[in-house]
Amino acid sequence: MHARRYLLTGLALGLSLLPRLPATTVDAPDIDSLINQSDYVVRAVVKSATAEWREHAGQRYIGTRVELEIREVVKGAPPSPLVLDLIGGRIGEDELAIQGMPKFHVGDENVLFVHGEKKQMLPLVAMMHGVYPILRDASSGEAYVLRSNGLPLYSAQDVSLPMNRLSAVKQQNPSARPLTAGAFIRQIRDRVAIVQPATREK
Amino acid sequence: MKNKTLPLVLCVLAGLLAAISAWSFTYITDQRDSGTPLPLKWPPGSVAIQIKLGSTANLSDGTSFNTSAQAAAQMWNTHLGNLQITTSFAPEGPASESNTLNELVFASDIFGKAFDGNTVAVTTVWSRGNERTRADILYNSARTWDSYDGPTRSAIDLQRVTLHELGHLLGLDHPDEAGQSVQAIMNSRISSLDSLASDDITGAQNIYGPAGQPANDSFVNAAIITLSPNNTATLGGYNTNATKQAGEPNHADNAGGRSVWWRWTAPAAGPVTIDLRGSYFDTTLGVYTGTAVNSLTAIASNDDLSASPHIQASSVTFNAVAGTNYFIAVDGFDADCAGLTLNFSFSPTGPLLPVITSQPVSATVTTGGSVSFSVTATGATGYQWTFNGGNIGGATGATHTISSVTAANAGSYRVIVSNAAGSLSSDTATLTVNAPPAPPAPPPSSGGGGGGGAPSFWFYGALSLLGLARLLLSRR
Repeated sequence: MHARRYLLTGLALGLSLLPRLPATTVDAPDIDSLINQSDYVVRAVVKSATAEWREHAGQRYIGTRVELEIREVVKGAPPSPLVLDLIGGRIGEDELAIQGMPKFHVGDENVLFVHGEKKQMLPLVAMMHGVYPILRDASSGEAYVLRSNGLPLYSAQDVSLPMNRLSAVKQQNPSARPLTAGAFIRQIRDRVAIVQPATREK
Repeated sequence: MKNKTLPLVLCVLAGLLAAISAWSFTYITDQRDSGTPLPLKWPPGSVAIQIKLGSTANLSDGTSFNTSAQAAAQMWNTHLGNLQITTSFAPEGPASESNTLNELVFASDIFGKAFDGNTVAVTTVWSRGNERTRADILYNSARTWDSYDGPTRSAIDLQRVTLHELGHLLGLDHPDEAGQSVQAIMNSRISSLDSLASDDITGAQNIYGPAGQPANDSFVNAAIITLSPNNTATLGGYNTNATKQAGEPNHADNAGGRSVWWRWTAPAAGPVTIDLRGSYFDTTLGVYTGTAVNSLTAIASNDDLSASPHIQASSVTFNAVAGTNYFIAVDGFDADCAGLTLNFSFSPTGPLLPVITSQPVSATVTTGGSVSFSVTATGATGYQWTFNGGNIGGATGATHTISSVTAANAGSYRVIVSNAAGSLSSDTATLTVNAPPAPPAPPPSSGGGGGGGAPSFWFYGALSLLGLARLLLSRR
């Protein structure tokens, strides 16, 4: 009964509150690959998101600087504050959008898989697959992890599933509860410990 | 770069996607609008793309990258109503943000930032306001590309990726990212689907319409509305490629230009509500009686359902009279156009709506003065006055008075009158606030004044009168 309530709450809140993250053509890495490609894995809250005009090789474009307040470091030694440098944003009536680039709003809390190098098109690994919004259940206060499409995550292994495929965990156990932020981070830590640094993709 | 053998990078998802149970296309919308944002779209006409991918015809299906991408554009074109993608070829080279071309290129970076290794291709889109102005499609040059039909192979099929990215260029988003399960080229991951699916086509046509004029473009061809047993109807349609007829009235006081028509005969008396929620453009709505488009009697009209939050769909309510033919016109604000949904509800057994017999009247008041707006409505049991679209706290009577007007009170006032049958809005009354008159100015000077100026006309006049008086007195 509780699980159903959590699921329904998560689904409803996830779909209603989260900005949708439009996407482009991206391969979804599995959890180990996500971890291995990340310099940092953090749980963080968006402090500010500022769009600005920029120039590269004579080409003018809009970029957005997203400053994060780190709540928990899961992997790596990120700088503080951690800043994501994104292509795209809106200034007045003008907007540049890369379809698939996640959008960040002040106050959003996410688990993020982050590239350290600033030269990446997107500092998140695999675009929408590198951001996992955290949503708090209003009644219980529990923090749950969602996929970028606003649907609950049931296992860290589900990160590589197509967005419209039901979790195996949920298929086997219809009353399974969505993954809490704490449980997701524990599963990531477990994988970080298992995967040897020498085998990590960089 | 191309046709190299790389490890299998694409997931074959055949058999995954369930049968279509409902349309689930999604759109890239105007995020400036916090109400019901509309899709960002290209203005009607054509969008020209320059393909710079390579002209060597050595791919598995016998095409070149250029012609494979061109074929993808043509696949979209066959389904689009008021927009066509025109193609041209140019030598391979980078995309430039300095020009105004929409380019398709292989690239290793965007603005100096490298592709994520997981990313196959991206579409960058510039927009101004709610219109798309430019877009480039960049294919990751580090991946292996080919062109073929059927199940995915180790090399990526450029044509299906182009179909997908052109969908983004047009304004479509990912249905699977919106939590939907549907077969579509617009899903976020490549599958064995190598052509447009019904969901993709319907999604694009809701923005740009299908080819040809709508059958109900003209007043005389108004489509007949038939209600379900519960006296409702949900109708779909388009006003793309529709026209405005000579003598046709402006709907909701906007010139519009792309109207389509429906006709409904009331089987009994009762309140009717029509709204256009679910439409993909900024609508206007008008309801009329009459027999010719140039001599209609307006019954009700509306532009936006709500100003705050901003809902650009229109809505009207009116009391139907048994046996009367009602003509319903749907147009676009400033001729906006796309797919539309018309929701119709009739209540033949319920109470009638209030009837407004006297509308609030616009007024002009000086700062500090007072003003009253009034409405007379028979059958009304509730009133709510609004200012610039937002409810005014406590303003729930038939008259709304502002006792000491300030400049901040200037704007649009309406009242929503209601009873058990529903509610309807009055006409808009505008309050204009004038600044108080300036203090009296000193008497005008026309020459004279200090400093040795010439005597004025009045001085000469007074002098002449004085001289005349002395002359008369001296004669006595």
